[in-house]
Amino acid sequence: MTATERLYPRPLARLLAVAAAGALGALVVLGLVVAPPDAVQGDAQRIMYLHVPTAWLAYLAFGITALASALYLWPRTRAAAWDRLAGASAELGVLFCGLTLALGSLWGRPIWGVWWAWDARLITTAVLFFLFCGYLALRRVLGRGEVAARRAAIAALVAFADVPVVHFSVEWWRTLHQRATVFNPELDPQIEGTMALTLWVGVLAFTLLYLALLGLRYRIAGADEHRAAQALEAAITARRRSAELPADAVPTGPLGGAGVPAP
Amino acid sequence: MSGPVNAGLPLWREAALVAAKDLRIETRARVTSGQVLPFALVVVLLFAFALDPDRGLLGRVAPGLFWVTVLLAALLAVGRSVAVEQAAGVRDQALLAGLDGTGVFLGKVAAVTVELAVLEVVLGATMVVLYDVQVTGGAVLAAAALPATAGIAATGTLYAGLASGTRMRDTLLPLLVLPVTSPVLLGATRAFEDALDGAAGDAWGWVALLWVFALFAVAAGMLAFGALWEDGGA
Amino acid sequence: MTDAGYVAAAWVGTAAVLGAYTVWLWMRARR
Repeated sequence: MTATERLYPRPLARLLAVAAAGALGALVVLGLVVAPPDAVQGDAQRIMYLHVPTAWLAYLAFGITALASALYLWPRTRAAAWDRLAGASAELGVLFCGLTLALGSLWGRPIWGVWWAWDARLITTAVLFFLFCGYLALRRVLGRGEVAARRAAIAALVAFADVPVVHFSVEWWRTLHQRATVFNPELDPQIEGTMALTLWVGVLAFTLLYLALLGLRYRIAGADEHRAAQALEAAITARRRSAELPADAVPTGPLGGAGVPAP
Repeated sequence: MSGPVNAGLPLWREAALVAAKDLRIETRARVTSGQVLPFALVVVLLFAFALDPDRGLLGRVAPGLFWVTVLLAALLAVGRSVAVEQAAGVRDQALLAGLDGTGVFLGKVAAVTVELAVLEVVLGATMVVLYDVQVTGGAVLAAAALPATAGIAATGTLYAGLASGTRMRDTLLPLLVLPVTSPVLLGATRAFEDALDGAAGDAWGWVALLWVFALFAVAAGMLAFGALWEDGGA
Repeated sequence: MTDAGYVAAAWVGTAAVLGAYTVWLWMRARR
């Protein structure tokens, strides 16, 4: 078995980690100190410097999962690495998506007065969270192997395809019944100056963090697979030995069959 | 795509065979009618206990309660549908007979749709009686129920197939299926509400959404089952 | 809770969650 695969060469991984830490530090300074409080929202607006990046990362992470899943299913590009990447990215996606929902709530409480609202984007994000929680649970239950990887890849693509459908149908629900959109979840596009800079730094910092963690998680997935394969081999070997077969016997049963050489 | 040596029946023929087999099994084993349907009726009772006994409220939320109940029942129905294939020797016989994944999928979806349709009729009648619902716009109700049921059946069968053979399929299936079918729940409930409110004309947009979802779900399932059928998956 | 409280909860909470996850991954990678 080859050594555990890395997603990036070691220097790049180190660079990403350092860059992420630096950018996050800059974000803290910019977001909490340098950027002025919003004219309308006051200090609560600072939560947006976290909420927008985490939302972006959730979409990016799930997008990577979907892409990797598609590449795994396509016979010409099939490789275990894609399956590993899909799983790793999905875990990060669920993490960021959960953060997005929590941060949105923390922002919504002071600004809207409520922890939650039944708006298209919020509902879609909540469903997205559960879709990929289900994907992760399915991965855990399916275990390893090509069949498992293909099933997981299909589940990822179905989940990803369902997201626009959910968003569209909920959006349609709101407009068809002409509910007045009291809540405006959009960040004011006229944002500029220090606030815009802080937001971009946030997006950059979280993207670097995602890339760094992705490499780590990918490596762990490879190590887990490696260990599981070793454990399986050891179990087979132990089983063969415990059977104590004579030299010319052909082992039969769940682990053996024609063609397995006798010890 | 390689497969067992067999000229292969036309897709519709295969699906009809599988559907007929599943429905025959159901007629004998009476799982959907004897267990899933009573479960659905119990849920109807539960909602009546949980919500305001004032019958006006139940009548107003009846469409939503109806479709939530159908979704929960569907989880049981598709779980059962896929489990039937796991019985010893069934898969081998199917492969030897030249059945391929797409035909099996379509047949199973058709069978589950029929079972759920029967369940919906009984469920609906019960709700009309217990929740004091005035039924109007019957055509819209039927026009919405068909693609909604098919979409639920297809999505459920797809995921049940993906999780088949695993240890925790029954506890995993709700988490997989319910988020994916949320557009169906939304569309079907709104269509039913429009029909019962006497605004049947508004419902056709929702019916269109339900058809789009159903077609995509069936297509996705056919692709998945087609790809996975031979290696023991799905 | 004042606005500052929500902001603090958001930033501290995010740092805690991401930090804990990073540490957890780090420990798993060392195994």
